Amino acid sequence: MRSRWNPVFKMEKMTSSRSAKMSVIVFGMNLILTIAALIMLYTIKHETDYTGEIPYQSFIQLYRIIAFFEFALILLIVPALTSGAVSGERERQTLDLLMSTKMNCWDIIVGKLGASFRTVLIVILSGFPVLSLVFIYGGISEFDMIFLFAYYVITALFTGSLGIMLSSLFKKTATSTAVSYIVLLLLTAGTGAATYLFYRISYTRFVEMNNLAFYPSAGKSIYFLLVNPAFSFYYFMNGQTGSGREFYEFLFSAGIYEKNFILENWVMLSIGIQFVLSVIFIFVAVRAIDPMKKKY
Amino acid sequence: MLDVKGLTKRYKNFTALDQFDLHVDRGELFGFVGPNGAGKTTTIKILTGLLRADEGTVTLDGRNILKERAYIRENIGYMPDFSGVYDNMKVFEYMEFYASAYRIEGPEARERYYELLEMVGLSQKANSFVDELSRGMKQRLSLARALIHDPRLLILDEPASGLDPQSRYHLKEVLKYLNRDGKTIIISSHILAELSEMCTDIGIIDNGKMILRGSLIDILDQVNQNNPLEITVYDGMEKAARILKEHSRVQTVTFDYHKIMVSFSGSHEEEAELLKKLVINDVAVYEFIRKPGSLENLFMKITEGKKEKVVVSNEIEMEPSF
Repeated sequence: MRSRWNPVFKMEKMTSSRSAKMSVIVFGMNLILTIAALIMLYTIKHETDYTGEIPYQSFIQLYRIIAFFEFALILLIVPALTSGAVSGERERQTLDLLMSTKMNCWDIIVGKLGASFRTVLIVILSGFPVLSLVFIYGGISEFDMIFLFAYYVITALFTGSLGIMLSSLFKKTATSTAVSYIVLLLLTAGTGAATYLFYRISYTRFVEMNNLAFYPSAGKSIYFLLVNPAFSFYYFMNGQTGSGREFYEFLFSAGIYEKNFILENWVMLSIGIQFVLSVIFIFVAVRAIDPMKKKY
Repeated sequence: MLDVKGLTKRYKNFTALDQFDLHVDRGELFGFVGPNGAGKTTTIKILTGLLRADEGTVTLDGRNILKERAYIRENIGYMPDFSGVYDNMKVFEYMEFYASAYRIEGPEARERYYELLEMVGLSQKANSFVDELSRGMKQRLSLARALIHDPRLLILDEPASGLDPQSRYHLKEVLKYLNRDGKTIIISSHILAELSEMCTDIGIIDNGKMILRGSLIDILDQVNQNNPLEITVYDGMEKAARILKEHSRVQTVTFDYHKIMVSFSGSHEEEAELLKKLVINDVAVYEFIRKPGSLENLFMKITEGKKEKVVVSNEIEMEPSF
């Protein structure tokens, strides 16, 4: 009889449910979110006590802060969950045992990714009741929240597949975890810094040339930010909770004045790129563990 | 059944396997012996599809398993020298997991793994957590896991390493039982005394080459051929000395009270003739034995010796000296 479930996924589901790790992550994250939400609510109440007005915008701000907070937690938690997925099997010396069964490399990688993904989904969903505090006074629709969830899912897939790939490439979990965080830092802060650097170089040239016809600009380096899940999330949240102009104001400050197809469809393109990269990462992970593809 | 020809594996500048040949027939319990770094684990990893070979062919029942990996997975069971267990997993769940990894599910899987746990003496531990088992129990569980898909060929890499004598004995008994039950088994080990107790055939690998291969009986026979005959005589020492000195197959004779050590190069038949001659001539022979040789001695001689062509029997091909 053929199994309906991937055996690795099933096994990981069972063993992780017995471990305290999952409960600690969910409890810890919700504790932080709840404390942040309560502080915000207290601030709003305090303000209302003084002015006699309910600042509705503050609830949107609450949603924004909690959403960003949860996003940051995803970026921090997912590498920790995935970077030991394959290297942990190597360290336990169970990878060879798995490879000698009827499962192929795809089954193993997809099972590992699926199990980590499941944990992340539980973590994300567990934070939504706190996010739903925004519904007390409205301003955010259910669809906004569904889109937010979808964005979280794609970010979890992107960072998760990155972690799995590095876990397959490095033998030790400590190494793959460190490299996962470094790569993630490069993708977020690194791409932002690169864009800023290009802008500064252009600005220096502008000052040196003293030519009014030349405008300092970050130029095409701005497109580095398409692979930056944090930047795209910032754009995405501005669309949901702001006027949407903030993104263009940012571009303006970087010397980008003309809109184009990429800039107008930034979030969708960024999601698409993250998805394509996720697929590539999974392919690399599969290849990295395939003994027939390895020379040594 | 298993035929390996010209298997070569290089790691950068180091050649782990160099035109390695091996043949294992159905029903054999084949002992695979060699010093550390000789190429045993590399061979086993290639046979189990966990490592790519640079050259050579490996056929199992005529099918090239280097190309048909699915055939390896279906027909070969692999037990490494480590148990490889997961935390937070019970013994029956461990077996259930590997059963599902071989696409065996439901009642069929349950029936199969309980039968195997019974065979390796772990049925009472089915509900215990795997990481709570002793090393010997983990090895037995690992053996049960390797058998979950009922493979035709079982490959075990140093299965008894680190086990206490009781666990080793139990493992050995299970392997003998499996062999009697029709399983073909390849077992690599450093514990040669155990191999000589249970294997039907052995092969010795050194520097990536198979340097000796044959049935254990023939090989030990050959080892014994070089050992002296030990004759204990109760009465008639002088007659015995005269007969021995006159015998064409006797090279040297040394006396030690009632005991005579004879360097004798004859066959079993000639040994029997010599005994008969002593008895007919009224020599009271109390004991007449060929001092037994050990696989250890043979192994040591071969692996540290010069490479000369040696023939153990008509069926056995060997390269080095001993």
